[in-house]
Amino acid sequence: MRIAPLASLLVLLGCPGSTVTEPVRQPGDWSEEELQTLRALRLDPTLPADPTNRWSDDPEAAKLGRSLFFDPGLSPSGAVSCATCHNPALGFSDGRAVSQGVGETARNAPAIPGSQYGPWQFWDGRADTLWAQAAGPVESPVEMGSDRTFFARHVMNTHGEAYRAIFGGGLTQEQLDRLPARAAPGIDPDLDAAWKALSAEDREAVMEVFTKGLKAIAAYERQLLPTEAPFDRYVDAVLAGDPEGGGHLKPAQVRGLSLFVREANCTLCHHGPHFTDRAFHNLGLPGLTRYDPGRSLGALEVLSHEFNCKSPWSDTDRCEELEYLDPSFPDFQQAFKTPTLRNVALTAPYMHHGGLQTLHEVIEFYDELPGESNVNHRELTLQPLGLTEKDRRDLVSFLNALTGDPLPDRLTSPPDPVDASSTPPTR
Amino acid sequence: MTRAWLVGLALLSGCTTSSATSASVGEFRRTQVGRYQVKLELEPEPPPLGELFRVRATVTLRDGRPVETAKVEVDAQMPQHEHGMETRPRLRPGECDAEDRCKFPDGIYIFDGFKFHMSGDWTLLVHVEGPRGPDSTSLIYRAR
Ligand code: HEC
Ligand code: HEC
Repeated sequence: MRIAPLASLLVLLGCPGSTVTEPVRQPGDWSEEELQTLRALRLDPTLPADPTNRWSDDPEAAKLGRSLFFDPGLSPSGAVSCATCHNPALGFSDGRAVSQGVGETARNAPAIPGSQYGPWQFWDGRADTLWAQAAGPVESPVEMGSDRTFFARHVMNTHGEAYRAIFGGGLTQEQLDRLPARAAPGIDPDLDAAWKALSAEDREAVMEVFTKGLKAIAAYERQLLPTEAPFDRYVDAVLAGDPEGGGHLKPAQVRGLSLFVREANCTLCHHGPHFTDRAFHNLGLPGLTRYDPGRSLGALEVLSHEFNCKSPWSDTDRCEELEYLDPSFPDFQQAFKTPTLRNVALTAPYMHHGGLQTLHEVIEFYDELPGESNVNHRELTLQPLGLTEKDRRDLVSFLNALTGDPLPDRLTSPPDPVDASSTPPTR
Repeated sequence: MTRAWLVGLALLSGCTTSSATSASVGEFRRTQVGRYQVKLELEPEPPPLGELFRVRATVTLRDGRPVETAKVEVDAQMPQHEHGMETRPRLRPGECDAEDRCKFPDGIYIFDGFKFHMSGDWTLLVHVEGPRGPDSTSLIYRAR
């Protein structure tokens, strides 16, 4: 919504805040209010329904989605799958500053576990569901370099049986025979021309298989939920009345947690069971080499996204998040989504540009806040923290306690070996 | 929503709000100049951070009679952060006649699409253009 000009707000800013002085508490000695914060941070795996995807909780669709996720045959290069950049061993990220697919991406690959919960996908939130998100990398010329026609054909040729068992229909043999190797709107002039040359019926059939394939991938991603970490067991024990928290956190980690919720006030944005407010902020990061509009563009894009909740491909027409989104919110400029901090120790390097190599560098950044935002302004609540080196290390140590138990093997590998050679590269 | 009333309101509320903040959601409070009484309710309360919620504003005259034909606007801002909400809430339509004169039975105005995207103190601003003229009020709500 609109914001009153600075001058009038300064009046409000001048108001004294609450001046009640709390007694200084030792780390691990939690006030009632802090216990509430801890309870709110404890993992809650309950996943809200996704009414945009009728198959979101269908186990067979998830199984197909798992095959597709690990299948490099969906890329005409035969070499790039979702798992290339979302590697289960690295918390479903890729260990690189920016990702390498068919080409190089502009941003860092985020973790997938935890991303299921928020209303927005991508650093700039330009997709509003997991399946709409998945369309992006498939058709991105620097990620999988594929297109919907190639994707649909590959799904039918390589996963046709599973596809038909779940969704029915699909492309007929005649359609497979007459479809061009590649066709899609808007990627490049050749693909676009090939797409326009298709009959309306063929286009519709390709769209059907494409969107259902994406929904199967989303059903799989919904199973990649964050798992319990030492932090959660600590909170359970503390809430059950054990001041030692069952010994689940080391003293340095308890100190780090204490800094996290108290002096450093990280919970201002990293709160709730996934340590994210699901909102967008401009941190004024160092090392931005080019202007990235972030949420200010992402908000516009999601409102007109081909596969958004309001699109004909969505299985619902109740789309409140889209309905009330204000794309002109001024602080969307160069703002990026607050990422989950669960499993953060596995997903270096950090931030949307991958510009910070280690968690220690991240803490150093929040502590010193070097430079200023080249666009708009840095989130005003961020203030240099004045941490000691020990404080920094303890905060890092605490972040390490957010690494969850490993996901079961059945979720972190393809269901059966995928024979990528069955689809020779075209083009 | 016009910028002007927001400015005015922010100035008016100034630091005097710190004493008035004891009034909370769910209670009637008198508007700045005293023309109306307004009660704000959040649904659900407390609203989960980062999730959409509804605001129900009940507007009455000082004697408690409902004001059913006012123009009512509600906004939420975080003064310390110099920002408002990431969403644009909308008033549910009242009962309107052919000339588009709308009535809000019992003086209840319901707004969908509020969202507190950050924890901290939010100022809820209400502006009423009613039979006694314009008036406004604000209250502070701590979201967590
Ligand atoms: C070439 C590397 C690459 C490939 C291949 C790739 N991704 Fe990504 N993924 C990224 C990058 C980089 C981002 C962040 C892009 C952005 O925000 O602009 C991302 C973002 C995401 C997100 C959003 C997470 C969040 O928290 O917002 C999800 C979910 C995701 N990818 C799933 C997939 C799926 C499913 C596939 C396969 C269909 C896939 N990715 C293929 C690199 C890749
Ligand atoms: C004003 C909101 C806000 C506050 C306060 C905040 N963060 Fe963040 N955090 C973010 C956002 C937004 C990002 C992503 C920014 C980007 O990439 O442009 C982020 C990114 C991170 C990352 C990188 C995660 C990744 O996967 O790349 C870590 C780690 C982190 N924050 C930890 C902290 C710690 C520790 C504190 C307290 C010292 C803190 N944050 C305070 C909003 C915040």
